[in-house]
Parts: sequence; structure tokens; C-alpha cells
Amino acid sequence: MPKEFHKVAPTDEVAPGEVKQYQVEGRPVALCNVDGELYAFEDVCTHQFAHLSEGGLEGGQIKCPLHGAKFDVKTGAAKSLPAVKAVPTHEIKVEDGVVYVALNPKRVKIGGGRGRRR
Amino acid sequence: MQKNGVPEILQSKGIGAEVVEALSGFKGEPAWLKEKRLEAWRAFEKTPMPTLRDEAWRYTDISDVRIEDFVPYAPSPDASSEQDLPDAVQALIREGEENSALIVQHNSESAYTRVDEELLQKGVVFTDLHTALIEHEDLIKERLFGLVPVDYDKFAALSAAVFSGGSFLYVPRGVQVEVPIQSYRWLDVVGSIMPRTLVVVEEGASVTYIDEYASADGEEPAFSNGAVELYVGEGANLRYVSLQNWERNVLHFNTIRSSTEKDATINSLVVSLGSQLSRTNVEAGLTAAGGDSEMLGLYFADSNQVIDHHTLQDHISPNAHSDLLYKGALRDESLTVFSGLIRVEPGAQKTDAYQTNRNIILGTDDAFAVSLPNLEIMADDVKCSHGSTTGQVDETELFYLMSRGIPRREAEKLVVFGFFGEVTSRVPLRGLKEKLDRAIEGKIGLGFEERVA
Amino acid sequence: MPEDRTIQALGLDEYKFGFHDPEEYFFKTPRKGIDPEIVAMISMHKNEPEWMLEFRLNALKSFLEKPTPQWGGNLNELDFDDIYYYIRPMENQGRSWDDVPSDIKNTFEKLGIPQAERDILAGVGAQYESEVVYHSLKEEWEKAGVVFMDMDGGLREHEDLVREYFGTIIPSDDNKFAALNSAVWSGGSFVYVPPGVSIDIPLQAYFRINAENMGQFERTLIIADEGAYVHYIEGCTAPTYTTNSLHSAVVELIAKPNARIRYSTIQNWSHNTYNLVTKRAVAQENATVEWVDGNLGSKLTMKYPAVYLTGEGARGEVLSVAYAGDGQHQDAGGKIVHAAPNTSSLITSKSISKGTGRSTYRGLLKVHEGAESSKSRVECDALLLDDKARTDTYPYIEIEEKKVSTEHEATVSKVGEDQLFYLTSRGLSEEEAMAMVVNGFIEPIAKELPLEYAIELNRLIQLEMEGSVG
Repeated sequence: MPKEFHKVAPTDEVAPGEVKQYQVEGRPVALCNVDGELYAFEDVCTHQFAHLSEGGLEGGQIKCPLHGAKFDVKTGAAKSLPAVKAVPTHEIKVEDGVVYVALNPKRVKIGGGRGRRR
Repeated sequence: MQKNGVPEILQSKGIGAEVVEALSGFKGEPAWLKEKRLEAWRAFEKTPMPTLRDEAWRYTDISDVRIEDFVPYAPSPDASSEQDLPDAVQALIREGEENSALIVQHNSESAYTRVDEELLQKGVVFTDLHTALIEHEDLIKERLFGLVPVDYDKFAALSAAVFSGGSFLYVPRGVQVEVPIQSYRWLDVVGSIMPRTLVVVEEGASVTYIDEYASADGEEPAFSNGAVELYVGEGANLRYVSLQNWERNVLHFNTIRSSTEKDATINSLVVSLGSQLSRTNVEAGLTAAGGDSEMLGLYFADSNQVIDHHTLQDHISPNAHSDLLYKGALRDESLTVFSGLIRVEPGAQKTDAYQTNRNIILGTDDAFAVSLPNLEIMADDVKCSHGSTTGQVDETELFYLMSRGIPRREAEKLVVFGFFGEVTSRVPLRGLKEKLDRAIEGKIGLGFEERVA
Repeated sequence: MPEDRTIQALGLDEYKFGFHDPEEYFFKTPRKGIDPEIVAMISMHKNEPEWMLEFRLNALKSFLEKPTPQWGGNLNELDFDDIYYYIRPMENQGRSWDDVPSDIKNTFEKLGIPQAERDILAGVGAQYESEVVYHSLKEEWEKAGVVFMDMDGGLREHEDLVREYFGTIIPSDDNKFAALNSAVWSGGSFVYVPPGVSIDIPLQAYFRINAENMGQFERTLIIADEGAYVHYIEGCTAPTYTTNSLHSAVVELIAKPNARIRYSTIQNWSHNTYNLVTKRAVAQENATVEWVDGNLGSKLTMKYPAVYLTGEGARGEVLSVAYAGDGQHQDAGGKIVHAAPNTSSLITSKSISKGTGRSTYRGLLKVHEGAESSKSRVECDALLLDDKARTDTYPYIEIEEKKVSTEHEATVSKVGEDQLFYLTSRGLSEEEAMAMVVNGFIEPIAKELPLEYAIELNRLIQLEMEGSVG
């Protein structure tokens, strides 16, 4: 199946050190900027439901606002308890100053948005 | 009921106090009911939409449910005989349990009602709620919203504010209704259905009542939001079945609560198979000594369905008994939630309460089963226990069947049937059982063989 | 935020550079309440590295931001502004033996605890070390490379090791009380057991008990390196008296591949204390972690020891026993997270509620996708001794993997009249009979404790049962 990219935002909407949430196909997507590089991932903690974009971005890691679990924004890997499971990351494409993402079929089971698949 | 004369405001998107008033006016309701509806509406407005941060909604994500997008009311064509009903509904009736009385709610209104002459002679009342309000207001006024209060939760509040159609069953003292009574809720438009069931079984009477929910396939989301109140009188016996088999465009919310007088018995079976998202609260109030509540549940979630049951065995009086068994199967990317509570209030001595939840996950690692079997015990002379298991199809059973020459796929089906058999075998309704077997078979059906490891 | 900015933003640099003797400035007159100043002074008083100060200040921020939990026990009467967050150990001696409540003195008497220990336990003595035993053991451990010291000493002498693990198992923003502890922690134990080393005699904080150790906000970190074994025993069964109303500890355990850690606690805080503790362990490949957790004292305890099974073949076990007497609420339990294949776990909970006591089992069993062939079992038994007593069971079971077997069972019962009748017909008084039935009920847990603890536990329960009949 060919990858389907969805338009998210102009590249300059998320400044270095910032993270913002977008709704893409009914799913919460966090878009963050680490030293000029953009990364996208599911905006839901794998430990217990919370939006990661409401936490802090520090040194390429996003920290959950609820219990302090940390994830590598590039790989999604869990970097600190109480999370043990990676957060799904989305592939990014930039064209004409606009960010597009291809959604990772993997979801966080709680709060990762219910798909429209029938 | 006629299509004409339905106020325009009921047939356009969005719900507000004006809608509540218009609906009540359109139905010519007594002032007390209009006031109740408005009270419910205020409760709805005051209650925030539940989120994953609310304990009772911790796993069930409804953040994309937009109540304001639904049309509150959809009229239905009248049917003067069963032959006038949609073919699909006629098929449901044919394949269902034999019945002595029948009501079909088509969208927001009751379209067809039939009650056997014998029941009428015994004084049984079975009609839609609006008619009942005109003909038997005294029987209803004290009881409507008595078990599922208008401020029970966000959804129950909305349902109370704008309920339409619904059914009222009254079985007088000492009357035994041998053949089940059946209601169908049928939805074939985009919009909402907010039925309400009120059952009153008087002292020493007995009856079986079945609520069944089904719809025509649709693309756009539809919304079902109901409430069921079951009053079981002294020494009376009620068997209640809720069979939810909506198409996948429907979001289903329902709250069922029963109360039992002295030595009353209620046997409930709640089946959840359809809809995209299904949230059912099932509560048994053990309100007098000698009460007995059997609570059975059966659910099977596939694709990306979310099926959520919250149950309560509410032991308020001493010397009552309750026994709950909820069994569920999951496949694909589905989520099931079972959250059950046995609550023994202070003074409810000699309570016997049991609760069991079992889940099987079929051939997938993408499904998610949550089980929360809770106890709150505030009396000491009680016997309470609960158990919960989750796992895959029992391998030893599988190997046994295969060693008998049954092919693996067939063996797996048999094991799943065996799993649910523990529930269905406790319900003496043959037509219903056959219906459930077909539904389970359909669920196992296509694609299952490849997915079972 | 870089550290300098933190300091400046809080206006703390003046303390850093302006006062040569912070004790003079600050500790002469301890004050209640918590703010960045107090936190900074604690850190300075202990002469800590900059990173620890920053850790504490971040934690404080998190503590202040987080709402007080509205689940579990009732915490709404807990006044955070009415608590001393740091008292120089010496100041504890200001209290005299006469101040100790008589019920606690009576219990000491009945348990036959020596006066020197009584002083410590009642918080009126300064230092107690059972010298001879402790020093010979200490020499033996040191030869094997085992580190066992208080957490402050650990930070001074093994900073690298501490920095690598401190707060990684329980982040400072894990919950409100972990955040509080992270901000104001003091005392507790630091243990490191080198690869392959097995310590046969349990390490007991008791050996080097002192006022600091019995502190309100102790912090413990235990690292068992590959193939090591250690049994650590926290606190003691005798009543621990404190005038302060809050005890909030953090305990982090790391069991590296093939290691095994057993951690035993019998908590018996005085009945005015809120005991809000976060305990969590990681068990790597084929490692085993066991929590043996007994809760007898306190007004309210909220404590759910956790094991994260992160390596294949790891095993976790929680044995929990709770006794809730009049006015007490024991909200205890255990959490197990299966995050690797072939992991196994067992939670066993036994609780007793008497009078108006309430005991709650609260637990989590989580099996992550991919933790295939995991096995888990949770068993809860609750015993009710009075019609006003209460018990609850709130297990959370979350299963994301199909190749698993998980079981949960709970039962609630009262002491059987037939049992009592049998025992009294054999000449036992009703009280003795009741105590015997209760002891039988908790026996599966008691037998996991070192003998002297098990005996004390039984005697304690017996004491608690006095006057329970008739």
C-alpha cells in the first residue's frame, strides 16, 4: 500500500524547542522542532492517557506531563519509567514549506484515536 | 405516529432547551414531565463531557463524539400490520424468540405494537411510553427516572431530556406471562434514537422481556442513547435481555438498573455485539431481603470496536444474593472494558455476591482487554468473591478436539462456542440462543482462520 | 533549564555565595512549610553537588503543580504548610521520653524492646548502633565490595553510581508525593551489591538506625549487579513514633540480569501519620524482585510496590499484608508490569479490618504487547472482624497480549464462628482464639519474614486484638 501523506502545518509554525498538537485523520499528532529538525509522533503517552505535547521537550526527549515518562522523539523509544513501550512515530515530508506526515499504522491503545476503518 | 406536525426544530442538528420544550409540547406531556425533562437538560449542560481522565471513562475514548452533530428526532412511518414493517425488521422478528407481545420502535417513534388478547385480559399493559403516559400516568409518574435518575451521568441526562418512543410494560400482581415479550429498536436514518424502557412487575408476577437493537447499514455516525428501569415486586420474577447488534456506524450508550422487592428475582443477560462504540452500565439494586440477581453478559469485539460494560451489584439490604458472569472475546484491534463493582452497604449482612469476568483474545496482539473487578464491602458477615481471567483459546481443549480428528479451524470455533456456552446455557430461550450462535459464528467467520495462531 | 539560570531565577545565588554557615542562618529556628528556599538550604546543608540541587528544585515545582490525589485515601485534611520538611537530626532530641504517648510505651513494654531502642523508635534518642554485630558484618561486606550506607553518604562517596540511577526508576514527577520526596529527601539507604555477590544475612537499616534514618522523607536506592543477591529489611515492627504527620519515602530497586532482590517492610507508624510511599523496582533478564510489605500502623497508608519486568524471564512478587484498626485506612497493594516475554508474577494480598478500620487492595496487572508466554496471578483475601469495618478491592487488569495467562481472585469473609467455637471449646479465651485465627490468616506472609520479624508481627497482631471481643 503506498504511503499516504497528510498535510499538517507550515514548517515555520513550530519553532525550535517547541511542540504542538495537530489532528490528522482523527488522530492526535505531536509535531516538534529539535534544533531545526522536525519530528512527528502520536501525541499520547504509552503509560497512561495524557497528551505528550503538554509536557516538556528537552534534548530530543519529550517528557509526559502526567508521570514524567520520557520518549526519544526521533525513534519513539521509551527512555524513562513508568513508560516501557515506544510511542509510534510518523514519517515526515516537507514540500514547499509545508509539513506532511504519513501516519504510523501502530497506535497507542488508549486515546490514539479510533480509526474510521470499517 | 404521524410525520406531520413534528416541529422543525426536532429535525435539525443540535439539541438545546428549546428542543426539549418543543418535544414535550409536541407529545402533549403533563407539566411534571416537561419539568423533569428540563431538569435533565440542565444536568446535561452542567456535566462536562467525560474524558479519559475520568475514572469511569479511563479506557473508553469518546473525545470524537459530537453530540451537537446529531439530529435529536427522526420520525418513522406507521405500520398497521407486521407486513408494513421494513423487511429487515420482519426478518429479525421471524428469527427471534416466539413472543406474546411485540413493539417496534422505528427511529424515534413506536411504529407497531401487538399484544396477545390473553395478556390484555390479564391486565398486562404493553405500549410505547407516550401512550402509556396518557393512559397510565399514575403507574409511571412515581417510577420514571426512579432508578436511572436524570443526573446519573452525561448521557443518561441527555437521554432523559429528549427520550422518545420507548416502551412500558406492566404485569399486574400474580400474573404469569409464559411467552416472552419483545421490543425491537430499529434505526434506518442518520440521527439519533433515545429509547427508554420501563418495566413494572408486580408482586408474584413473572415475565421475560427482550430489548433488541438493530439498524440498517449507514456511513454517517448515528447515536443511540437509552435508559432501562426495571422494577421487580415482592416474590416476582423478571428475565430481562438486552441484545445490542447495531451496525458499525452507531455509537451506543445505555444504562440499565433494576430494583428488587422482598424475595424478588431478576435474571439479566446483556449482549453487546454491534456498534462502533458501546458503553453499557448495568446495575442491580438489591433493595430488599431475599432479592436475587443473576447478571449475565456476553460480548464479542472485532475490527476496531470498543465495547465497555460497567456493572454494579448494589447490596443495600441484608440477605440478598447476586451472581455475575460476563464473558467476552476480542479479535483484531478491538478494545473491551469490563468494570464491575460489588458494593455491600453498611448493614447489608448475610450478603452473598459473586462476580466473574473472563476474556479470550483470538489470534491477534492488537486487541486490548481491560478487566476491573472491584469490591467495596462495608458489612462483615458476607460472602463475596470475584475472579477474572484473560488468555487465549485453551490449547489443551484445542489439542483434545484435534486428536479426535476435528480440523484445527473447526476445533477453534468449537472452543469459542464452548467458552460462550457457559453463559448461553443459563438462558432458557431457544430462539435467542440460536440467534446468538449465528452472530458469534459470523463474528468468528471471515478472516478468522488466518488470524488465529 | 541550565542550572545557573535555575538558581538565579529563584534568587538563590545569594544563599550559595553569601552564607558560610547556612545552619546558623537557617536551622536555628526550623520553620514549617515548603518553598525553594527550604529546598536549597537542605541541599546546601548537605553540601550536595549542583545537579542534585537542580533535581530537588525541579521536583519542588512538580510537587507544587500536581493536585492532591482525590482517589485512594482522604488526603484533604493533610496540611502541607503545617509540616517541618527538614529538621537537623539533633533537634529531634529536644523531645523527652515523657512526651511519648502511653500506648506506644505500653507496646514497647509488651514487646520487650530494650530502652536504647525504645528511645530511637520514639524519636527521643540520637544514635543507636548495635555495635558488635554490625561492625563485624560491615567488615565482611566491605571485603566483598558491598556498599551499604545512608543515602547522603552514598551521594558523597559514590556520586557517579548515584547519579546514574537516582530518580530513573521513579522520576521526580511520577506523582505528587514522589515529587515531594525528591525535593526534600534526607536519609534512607544506598546499597550496591557487586556482580555475583550473595549476601546471606539481610541488610537491615535497623543496624545503623538513627534519627536521620527514621526521617520523614527517606530515600533508598538498591542496585543488585548481575547475579547478585540481597535481602533488605526496612524499618522494624515496633511502633515508630513521630510528631510529624507525614512520612513520604521513595524506594528504587534495580535487579540486573540474574540478580535477586528481596525487600521487606513492616510499617508501624503511629496512628497520626500519613504514610505515602512510592516503591518501584526493575527486574532485568532472569532477575527476581520480591516485595514483602506489611502495613500495621499509620492513619492512612497509600503504597503499591511495583515491579517492572523489563527483561526476558524476569519474575516479580508482591506479598502484602495489611491490618486496619479503628480509624485507620490501609490503601495498599502491588503493581506488576510485564514488558518482556516469559515473565511471571504473583501478587498475594491479605488484609484484616477491625473496628472502623478500612483496608483496600489496589493493584495493577499490565501485560504489554510482546510480553508473550507471560504468567500472572493475583490473589486477595480480606478478613472483616467487625460490622463497621470495610474492605475494598480495586485491581486494574490490562492485557494487550494474547499468549498470556492471567488470573485474579479475591474473597472476603468474616472470622468463622465454627472456627472460634472449636478453639474456645479447647479452652482458649475468645480473644486468644480470634488472635489465633488471624495469625493463621496471615501465616503465608509471616513465613516469608525473618523469624524475629514474624514473631514480632504475631505478637503485634495479638496486642491489637486485645479488647476486640465482647
